[in-house]
Amino acid sequence: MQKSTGVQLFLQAAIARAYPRVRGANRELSWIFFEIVVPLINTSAFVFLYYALGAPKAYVGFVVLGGAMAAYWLNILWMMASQLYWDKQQGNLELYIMAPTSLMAILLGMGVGGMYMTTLRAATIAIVGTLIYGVTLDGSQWGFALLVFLVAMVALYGLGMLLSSIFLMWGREAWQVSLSLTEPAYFLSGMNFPLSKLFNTLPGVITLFSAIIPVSFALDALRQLLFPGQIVGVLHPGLEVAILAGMGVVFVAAAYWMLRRMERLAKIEARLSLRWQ
Amino acid sequence: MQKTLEQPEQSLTESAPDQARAERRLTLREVTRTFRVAAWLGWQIESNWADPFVFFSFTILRPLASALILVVMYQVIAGGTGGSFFQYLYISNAFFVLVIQTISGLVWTIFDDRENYKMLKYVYTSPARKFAYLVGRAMAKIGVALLTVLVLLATGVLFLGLHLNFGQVEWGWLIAYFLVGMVVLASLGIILAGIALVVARHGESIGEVTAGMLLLFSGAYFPPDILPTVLKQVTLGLPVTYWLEGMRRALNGGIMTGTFTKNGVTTTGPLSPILAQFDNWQLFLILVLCAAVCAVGSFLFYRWIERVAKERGMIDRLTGY
Repeated sequence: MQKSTGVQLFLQAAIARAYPRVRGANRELSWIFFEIVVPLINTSAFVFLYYALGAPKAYVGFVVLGGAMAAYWLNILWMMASQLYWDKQQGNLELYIMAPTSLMAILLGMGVGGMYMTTLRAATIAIVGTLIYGVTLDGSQWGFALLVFLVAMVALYGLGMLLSSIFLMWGREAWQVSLSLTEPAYFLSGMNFPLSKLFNTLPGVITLFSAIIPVSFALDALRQLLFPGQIVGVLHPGLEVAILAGMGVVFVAAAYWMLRRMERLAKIEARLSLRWQ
Repeated sequence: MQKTLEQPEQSLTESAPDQARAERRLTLREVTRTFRVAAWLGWQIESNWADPFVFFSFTILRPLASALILVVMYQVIAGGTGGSFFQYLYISNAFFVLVIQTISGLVWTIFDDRENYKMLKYVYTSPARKFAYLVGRAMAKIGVALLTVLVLLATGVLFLGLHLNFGQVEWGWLIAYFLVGMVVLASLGIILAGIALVVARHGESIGEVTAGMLLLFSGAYFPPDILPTVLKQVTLGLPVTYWLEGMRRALNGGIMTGTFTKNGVTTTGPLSPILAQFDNWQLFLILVLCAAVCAVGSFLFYRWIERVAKERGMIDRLTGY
């Protein structure tokens, strides 16, 4: 039997890790309910809040788009960043470390599988939300919007890989940090309101945190492209996509470096198999 | 040990009422002890992963961010804070933290003890009182949630334009609504904890999911009046709607009113005419009835589903992935 090595082994490991996520995406019916119907209900709460406030129709579209992007952020937190923590609790992490492949391949597989799984949910949320609430999108720049989305995904999942490597060292802190990054990220990325409002009112340091979350500029650019003339963007969408591309490169490179460092540290401190701490 | 050996002899000499009293005392002692130990355990699990400052910061971060989202959404449209609708929104959101934490705290106890720490089977094989244990374990989350509510209200008053006149607060109603509401929320949590006994690990978010659904169906962010008819009926069928209305009224010192302009005519009236038709006593009576039904229902449901879980061997069954 011929042994796989190098790039081939890397890709095989990535595909193997992505496989259960792709195959399992729609197997568990309760997940579909939890991940589509429930976010849709949460999104509806914000939509009705805007109705109650008498907001322009475009704001409903902003919320629906935000609801779809929230699915990606949750996937990053709970199925990327915290995944190695879960794997440690379940005893899988030792197996990954012992396997003759790179942890980067495992993370890549996790990312690709998670992206596929989440895209099914996010698309459903966006389509159903658009239909229920009669959101009108301007499709004249759909190609550019697709580019923004794809570049944002690279940056977002790059950040997920980076967080995952940091969480490798942690015990219950990982769980707490993931919990604590949910609503603050929704706030900082302008998930339910135009990002420019935040940038115009908050101190510069906090807007920097906002800018680091790829969802912020992704949403701002997508809203400018899909709702032209109805929102004042923070930056031109072209500039925002360039920043997102830069983030993608930095996050993936940082994840690679950090993973090696954290793996070594975790081995030295014997944390790879340490549970319930 | 000596005391234990003496017990049968004592019981032979005791009269029947004395024996019943002694058994009640023993039960009460066991319930109290289980509750105390479970509350302490819950607190350790919740908090000892970090020093108190870090723990407090992380605890407050989520609800504060949720409040800020609403503040900015309101500001974007209304151009500022301070209107009566802002009061409605902010107070409801602050108290909604208790809804999330009470329900999810009770549910999480089952998943955490069964799947994570693998201790549920040992709890069941010990003389610990199961209800006392369940509620005790969730007490840390409920306590932290209560503190969070206070911090959110204080932040609102100090920095975000929330107007609370402490002289107008109806303290008696506030306490009454709060206590009855907590019975309702704990009962809902116990029902979901019962469901958690018979579902695998991937159902662990049922607490948050239920709370998330209540966000839409409890009039937390907006008066139920603006909802389509079907959703409005669902909202009016849920006790949390009445609880939040009660808490808002008690803090505001009466029914919340606002000024509306329609077709150039400006009128003043209650923010939610539907809920305004109930006075405090009617609202309280509705809540007491709901609390009684929920408490009895949750007790019976949990006892039944616990038996089902035992019959199916699910108390110690772990999710294998």
